[in-house]
Amino acid sequence: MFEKLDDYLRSVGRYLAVKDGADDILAEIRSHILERAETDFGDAGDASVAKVLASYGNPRAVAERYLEGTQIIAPSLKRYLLGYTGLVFSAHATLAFLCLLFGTSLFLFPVVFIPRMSFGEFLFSLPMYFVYDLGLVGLFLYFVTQNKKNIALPWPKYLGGERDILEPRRPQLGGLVGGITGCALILAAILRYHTVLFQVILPPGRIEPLLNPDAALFYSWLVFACAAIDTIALGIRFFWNSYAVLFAKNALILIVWIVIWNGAVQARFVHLGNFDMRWIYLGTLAVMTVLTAGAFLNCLFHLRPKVGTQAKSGGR
Amino acid sequence: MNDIDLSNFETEMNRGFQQILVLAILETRLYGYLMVKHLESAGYPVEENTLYPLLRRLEKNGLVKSEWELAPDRPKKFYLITERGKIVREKLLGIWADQNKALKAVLEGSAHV
Repeated sequence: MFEKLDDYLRSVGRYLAVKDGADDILAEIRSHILERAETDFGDAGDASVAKVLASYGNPRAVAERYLEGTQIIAPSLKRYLLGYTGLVFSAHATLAFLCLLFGTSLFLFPVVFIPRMSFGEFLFSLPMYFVYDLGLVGLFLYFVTQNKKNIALPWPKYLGGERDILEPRRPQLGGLVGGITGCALILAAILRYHTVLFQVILPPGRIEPLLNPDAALFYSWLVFACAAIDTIALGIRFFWNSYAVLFAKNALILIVWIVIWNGAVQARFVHLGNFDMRWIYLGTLAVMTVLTAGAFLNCLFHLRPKVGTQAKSGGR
Repeated sequence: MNDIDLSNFETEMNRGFQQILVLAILETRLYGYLMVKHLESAGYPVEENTLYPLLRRLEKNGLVKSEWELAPDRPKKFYLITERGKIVREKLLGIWADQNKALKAVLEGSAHV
């Protein structure tokens, strides 16, 4: 009979996520709207009902008033959503990386499935892992919120807190000297031997390279780039000691590792007798990549404004 | 100074006051639309979207009770304060009076500073 009113109530009902009594609420709204139409406009017809509906509020807003006080995830758990997602994602990405390294798949029912994949597929999987982990943590926190008991969730100290250390540790002069010396040595080795990736230095001043000459030179420059980025960042931190600098540094170095993993220049490993250097090389590279990724994520968690982190005392 | 939007502050202040007001008006058995009209004529217009969810919360806490009545034209849901609601209302009125007293003292005190 009142098509617009029925449509309106159906819309309100769609947003009305209450455990029980939804029909009761809708019946009361219907009764109210019809009475108001009749009192304010003389009759409860389609035209008058439409006028009342126009001023009653949009269906979502109407439904939300009934849902005040109900939460999907408690505001106090917002930090946990981001912090826990970071932790779960780090573990997920590390497992995926190990699977990539050992050319295998992993299935931990019912939460983790990592198929055997190439490096490119691994990279493309990371954003999906993040979304999945965010959802998983969100689901967990939803159940914590719905359980009204006071559940104390653990909060690892290294995730920071109200009294965050807003600056990284002060850089040391010794570190800077070491960094510059390291860069100089790498540069000298590149200029002298055209590589820093060698297995042994044979007398008199000869080396046994790890890779074929083109690849050796290319990857040696990338190693130099990493060392230079690290040293420059350290130097900048003497003037501006911030996690933003560390974040940028680790992001750049991570890009270098990704270039290396992608094998932009075809590398052939030179064998030393019966010993295959390939696995030592790959292992070292894997450890360095994981460490850089960890440092990158750590900086990501620390990137936040300096103001507004002090806890405010509550009133009455 | 005139362009300050007070709506958020007003909403916060109204939240508690409307509970007392509804508990006070429900000494008489009323349904929603009549309550809106009564409050409007008392100089305190309340939106339906505010009133009905408030009534639902009060009922959930056992402060008011409701029943549907099949009136000749259409069904209406009537509300009435419960005994528990009356006790809570008295306590809330006490809190409100204390708050007014404290505010008055602070304002008078600050006037003499």
